[in-house]
Amino acid sequence: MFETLDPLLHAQLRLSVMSLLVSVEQADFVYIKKETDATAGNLSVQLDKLSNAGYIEIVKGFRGKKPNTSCRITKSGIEAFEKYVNAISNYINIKK
Amino acid sequence: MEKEEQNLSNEESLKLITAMINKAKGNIQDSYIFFLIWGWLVLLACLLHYGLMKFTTVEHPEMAWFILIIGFFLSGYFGYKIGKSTSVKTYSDSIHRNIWIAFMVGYFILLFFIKEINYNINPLIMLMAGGSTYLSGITIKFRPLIYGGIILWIAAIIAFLVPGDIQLLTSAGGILLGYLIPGYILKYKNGRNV
Repeated sequence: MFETLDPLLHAQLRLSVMSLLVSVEQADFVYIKKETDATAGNLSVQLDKLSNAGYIEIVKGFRGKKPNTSCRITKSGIEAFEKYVNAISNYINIKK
Repeated sequence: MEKEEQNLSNEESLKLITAMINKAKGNIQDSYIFFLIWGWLVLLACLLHYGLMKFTTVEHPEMAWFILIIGFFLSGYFGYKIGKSTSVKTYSDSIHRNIWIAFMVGYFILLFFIKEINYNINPLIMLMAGGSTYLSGITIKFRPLIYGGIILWIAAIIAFLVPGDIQLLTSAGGILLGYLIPGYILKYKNGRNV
């Protein structure tokens, strides 16, 4: 039986963000924007969706005098990501 | 079309995940600065100790090692500066930073009790420098540092076996080969200037 793929993760930009955040402790908005090649507006919207689902934590603060937004993945984000990777692997294995 | 609405095939998903994870892995931070700070200070301490011992009548030439105190302030300053300017914090960065903090505490304790070990600080500094360099190399997967750590351990063994003045020159050589050269290679790889 196929497991349904998490629609929140099965989207290019959100999956890119989650893959990046699962590998680091925390990353700034600017870093994520650079690595994912996304526009600031689009990235903001997608980060909010992930944050509302409890997959990531967004911390807004200041670095010196400049406002700074940094993100880190949450425990439930890691679990959802692992579940997604397992489901994808199953699909690919069955297809083979 | 917005990026998030593009359809992904399962294979594309997996490729995307792998590519993004590899991007985060390739991140080498500005840690070379700590090798340069400590490398130059220890080298200077060795040579100063040697010079004071050979060419002056100073009672405790070992006191030359107290110039390492400068390293605590410089490391603190650069550590703070790098932390403030870094836009991403990887797990290996955290491990790496804590390795340095742990060994700095070790250097500090050694300096504090230098009299208790009869001022014979040299081989112990080499031993600890070897440990921190080796672990740094493993953490950021950088071979010159791994080899540097091994060179420093060899320098420590030699330093335990030879008389005081030769010990200092052995340590100076060990620091040059095991600390400074890998530090400069790391700096070159990072494409930055101090």
